[in-house]
Amino acid sequence: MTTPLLELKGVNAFYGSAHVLQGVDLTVLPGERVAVVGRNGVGKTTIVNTLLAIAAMRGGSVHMRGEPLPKLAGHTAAAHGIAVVPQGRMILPNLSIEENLKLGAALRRPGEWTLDRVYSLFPILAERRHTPGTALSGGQQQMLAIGRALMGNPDLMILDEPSEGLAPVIVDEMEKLLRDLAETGVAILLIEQHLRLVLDLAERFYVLSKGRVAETGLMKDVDRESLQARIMH
Amino acid sequence: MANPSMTHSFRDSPVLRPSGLIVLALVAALVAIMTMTGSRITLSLFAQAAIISIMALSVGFLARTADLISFGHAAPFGLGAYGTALIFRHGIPAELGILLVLLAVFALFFVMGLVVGKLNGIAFSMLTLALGQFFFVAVSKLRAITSGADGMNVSVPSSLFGLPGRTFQTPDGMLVIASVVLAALVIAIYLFEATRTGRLAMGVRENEERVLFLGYRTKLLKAAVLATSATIAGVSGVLFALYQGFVSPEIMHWSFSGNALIMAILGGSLAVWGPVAGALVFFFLREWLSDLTEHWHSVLGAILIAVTVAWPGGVTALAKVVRARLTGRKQGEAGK
Repeated sequence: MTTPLLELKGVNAFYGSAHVLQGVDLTVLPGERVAVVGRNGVGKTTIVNTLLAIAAMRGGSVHMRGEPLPKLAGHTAAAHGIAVVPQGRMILPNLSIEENLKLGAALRRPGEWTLDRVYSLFPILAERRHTPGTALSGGQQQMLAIGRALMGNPDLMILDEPSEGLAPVIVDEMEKLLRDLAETGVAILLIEQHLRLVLDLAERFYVLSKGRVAETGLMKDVDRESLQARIMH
Repeated sequence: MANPSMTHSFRDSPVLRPSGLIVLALVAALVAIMTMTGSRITLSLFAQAAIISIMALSVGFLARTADLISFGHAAPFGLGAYGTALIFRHGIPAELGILLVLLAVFALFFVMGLVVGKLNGIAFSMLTLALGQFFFVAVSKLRAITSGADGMNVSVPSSLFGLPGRTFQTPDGMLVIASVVLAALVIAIYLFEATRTGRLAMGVRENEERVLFLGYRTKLLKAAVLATSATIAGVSGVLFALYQGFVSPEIMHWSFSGNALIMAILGGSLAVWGPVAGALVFFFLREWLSDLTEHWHSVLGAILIAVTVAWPGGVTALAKVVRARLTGRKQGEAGK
């Protein structure tokens, strides 16, 4: 049996006294594309925030490659090979595209992703490499956020609402890009409300409801309507 | 493997462009002319202004690099000044002693940076205010060590850093020394901003959380920036003690920190040299107004309010507008 790349076992996470994640179990296998779906406010982003120690984990455990992560902190996720493309992109607006990308290589993890390779994936970023982040469109900012995450040579990329604010045609391009990315061996955990992107990209899904995993299954076993029904249930 | 070197190199730093080198040469020429032709009073005023400019530079560096506003930089300034007075009093080798004083300031504020690393905004400012006042009270009360409110004389040795000790206490000597130190620090900050760590610091200023999640220990970087800023203030304090030959608790009062902050704000943060310009404007405005009226505080306050409202970006913003007009560019492009 394949050892999961990321495994959450009975994770309970809090914001202050608010108990948001309530015993969440979740696994992502190496190279797998997994989606987490659910209504607003059910705790999807809290999964990311737990890994980044923004939400406090007070119960359960997180494992990478079968090894428990004893202490989560803001800067440790990247060291474990987890790259996060956050909601809202959060690029650094006054740094140039190239500077943003190079900051992504914080830990110099060995791997295939170099500046040239990111530029070959996103030629528009290469053309505008000295442009400050503020001058980019929403789609270009998303490319930059993904490119910056790749510069850390991650094993797992977590994308939080990547389609938010993007035109449908850009979302289609991004779906193709993420599919290509997964074929290079990078696992993807997609936190998304945009069901078309989820259906087209993910192999497995988790439906989150009130901080718990309500259902999990293979994407090939559901269609848009049944997945929507599971979310609204 | 990713190549982590930044696009920016020292060659791209504004200070090493032809325009930057010309400005440096002009300033050097100006200082040389002044030392040859200026009156003793004028030279003394400029020497003091250059020393205070270093203090303002330290506050501006912290604001520009880490977006932190300090109300307590009189503390490292005073520690530098008192430290210098104490090492001379106790016969510690002067150069080594000054180096140790500055290292102690760096270490103290690095630790403080680690402790208060998560604080930003007004919380950080209030903490620096409290810390500054702590040191003010400490030097006022520790009479056995600091002579309390009476202050301490600074016995400058006959030779210091290869120069006659007297050089540090003459207006022309100190003007040259302080100007060289100031120029070296401005150049160093410009070069720092062109390094990978400098760009990282800029990223932390814009979005610390994001940089943290990329895997950087931002707390260490912020602590190092605070400690470096405090050490620059300490350098200013050392020069102050050498020139004045006397230190007293007033130099650690919160109002001195406030003045340094006003200078930095007046100069603006669009360029490294902003606080230096702000310090010069503030210093000479204060001297001029205090000759005109005993109510100079009120007049100075009114002028500062007017300038701040008219040019929120300070002298640096004004300079960019003027430069844009001279070069025929649109104002909106001026800041780029």
